Amino acid sequence: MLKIQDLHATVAGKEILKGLSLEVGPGEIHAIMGPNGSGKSTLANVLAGREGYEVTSGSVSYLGRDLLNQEPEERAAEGIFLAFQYPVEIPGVPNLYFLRMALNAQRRHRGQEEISAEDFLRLISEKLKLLHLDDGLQKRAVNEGFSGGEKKRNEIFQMLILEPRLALLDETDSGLDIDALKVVSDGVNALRSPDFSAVVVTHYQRLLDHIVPDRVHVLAGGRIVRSGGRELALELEREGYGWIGKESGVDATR
Amino acid sequence: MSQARTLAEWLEHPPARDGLLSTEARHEVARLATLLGLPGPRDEAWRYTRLSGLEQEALELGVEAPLPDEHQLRALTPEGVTLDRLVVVNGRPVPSLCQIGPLPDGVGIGSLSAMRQAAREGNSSAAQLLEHLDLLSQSRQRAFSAINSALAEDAAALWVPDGVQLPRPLLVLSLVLPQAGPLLSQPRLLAVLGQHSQATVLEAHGGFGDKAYLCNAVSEFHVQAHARLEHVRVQRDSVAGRRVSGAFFQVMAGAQARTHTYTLGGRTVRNEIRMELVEPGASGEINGLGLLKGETHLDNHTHVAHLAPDCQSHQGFRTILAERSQGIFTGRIQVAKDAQHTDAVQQCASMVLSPEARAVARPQLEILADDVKCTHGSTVGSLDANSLFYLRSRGIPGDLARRILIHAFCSTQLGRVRASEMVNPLDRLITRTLADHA
Ligand SMILES: Nc1ncnc2c1ncn2[C@@H]1O[C@H](COP(=O)(O)OP(=O)(O)OP(=O)(O)O)[C@@H](O)[C@H]1O
Ligand SMILES: [Mg+2]
Repeated sequence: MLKIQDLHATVAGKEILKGLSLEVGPGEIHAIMGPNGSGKSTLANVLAGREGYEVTSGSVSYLGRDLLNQEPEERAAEGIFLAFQYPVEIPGVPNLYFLRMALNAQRRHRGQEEISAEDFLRLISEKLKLLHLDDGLQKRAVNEGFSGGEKKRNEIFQMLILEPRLALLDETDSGLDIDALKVVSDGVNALRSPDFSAVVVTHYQRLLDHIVPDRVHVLAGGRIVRSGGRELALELEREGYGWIGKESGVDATR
Repeated sequence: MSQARTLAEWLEHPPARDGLLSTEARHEVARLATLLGLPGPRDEAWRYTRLSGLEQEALELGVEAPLPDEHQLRALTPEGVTLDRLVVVNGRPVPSLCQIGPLPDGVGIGSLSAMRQAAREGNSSAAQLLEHLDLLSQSRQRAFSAINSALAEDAAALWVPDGVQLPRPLLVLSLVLPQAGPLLSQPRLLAVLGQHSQATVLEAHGGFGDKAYLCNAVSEFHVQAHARLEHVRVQRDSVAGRRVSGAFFQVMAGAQARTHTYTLGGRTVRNEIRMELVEPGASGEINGLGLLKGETHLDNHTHVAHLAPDCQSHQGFRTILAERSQGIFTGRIQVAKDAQHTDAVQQCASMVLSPEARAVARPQLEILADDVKCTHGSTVGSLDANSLFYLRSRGIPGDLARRILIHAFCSTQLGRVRASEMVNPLDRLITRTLADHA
């Protein structure tokens, strides 16, 4: 599904990813943990195709094709979804309009017909129900004036509507109350299937109680320095990242 | 029999017949216009806008213009809304193209010359309407108003009696149709809304062809006590078109005037909008939207005069600037000494899409009262990269995403239009215009 090999990337002239390799198979969920500033969001942004993130060497293949030469919208239409660490407020663009434009653009890209207004509304109410969300937020402009938790829930809601094959969740659990955490994990679990993979960036093992990962990785200093099963998350929670420097020769604070 | 003369020559020899004004009166105001002279480089209010070469240019008045074709009429007509329609070609109302449905008693819609005829025949409201002509346009100080008064042949006119609500918006379709050579067009509009009356007026201005022209438009609105006016003006000039417009509003006790000017093209456009809040409790709103590209130069000048206590005003201008366009906004708020409890707001925001485009905002406050609330702010920005990436990351192609964001920037202006039947047609117009902006 996703294969990252020896990826080096710079932001504003500074190398952030320094030889990162990671492979995610179909149907798998991988968790990425690691200290602040270690490059987790950078990785997510590089995969989603954000401008200003320059890949200097290495490769990323997605569904057997080179991902890095695709525009962000192509990647989205091919099934990549990034749940932003900081979702963007867009005044003047109603949420539902935005979602319908997005869904239809993706469908056009895939050679499918545009969704009818009725089917779209049915889809919306079905997914709202699934996440126990009320429709008040959807009538407003994209994320405008949403609370931190509402923005994160809205990311998950969008994910359910767009049905990606590879979801990149960047700290979608940060700042959430218990109920919202449930919304996020229900959302991901609803998509779980042999065709759906996810990379879940988190600082807290509690999310992983709800979304059980197949693999847990530690990203530090722009590289994966350790990988393991879900028990690695528990260990990290107990022991922190102090060990990284000693064990792998990487500065844990970078 | 079209003649081309310079503006100075036209003012020296205005047509020797009754026009907007009587033959003698137009000669007198023409002399005044000559004395006032065209605004020059030393004129602070005209610092950013040059009508270079205008003095030397030979211009036709285009009075015997051909009738516009269906396509031209349709291009300026908002879709999906029932309207009464006045058609004006090169400044002169064309009765055969007007379409007016049944109206409440006493409402007058038509040409000023027809009103003058009615007044002669004893129609008292027509006579009252005529008394309002040229009271607001400042033709003693403002050269372009004097020129319009001297050279305009006729005007579109609206009279709404006390307590009457216009059943449908009035569309004044004003076309500039240059013929052989460069044209000088002088459309004029006079509207009087009686006490407790209500009206929505849409002025749709447009120029056609590739010939140069100067359209010098003047509109005057008397909004009497407790009346409500919603005025929308859409200006779609050709790339060779220059427009100088003056819109003047007088708002009396408890009345409300709201005006929206959408500038969607032209070579050089200068809009002057002046609103006087004359009696307590009057409120006024001046909004504007500019969708500029190519070489378009737009210069918006507003002046809100708070002359009485307890009045409110709001000014909101937004401009999209692509390619090499320029957008200048000068917004003046004047609060007279006894205009206590004034509440005045002014906002100007520009979105610059190209490094060669330029946006300038100049607020000018002149506050003589002490108990007032007066705020102003201006921003100049570009398309937000984070928003753009957010949309694209959801699968929306870059050019569509840009259009969505630009449209969103404009949509706050649409939100200020209270005449709800106008919102969708205006939105379609903006969407169509933006289709070749992003
Ligand atoms: N636009 C930018 N300009 C300059 N530096 C940047 C930019 N974006 C990221 N960086 C830097 O890159 C490094 C990695 O940032 P990144 O956001 O990927 O960290 P992270 O692992 O997601 O951290 P956190 O856990 O705090 O979210 C940081 O030092 C950050 O300051
Ligand atoms: Mg991060």
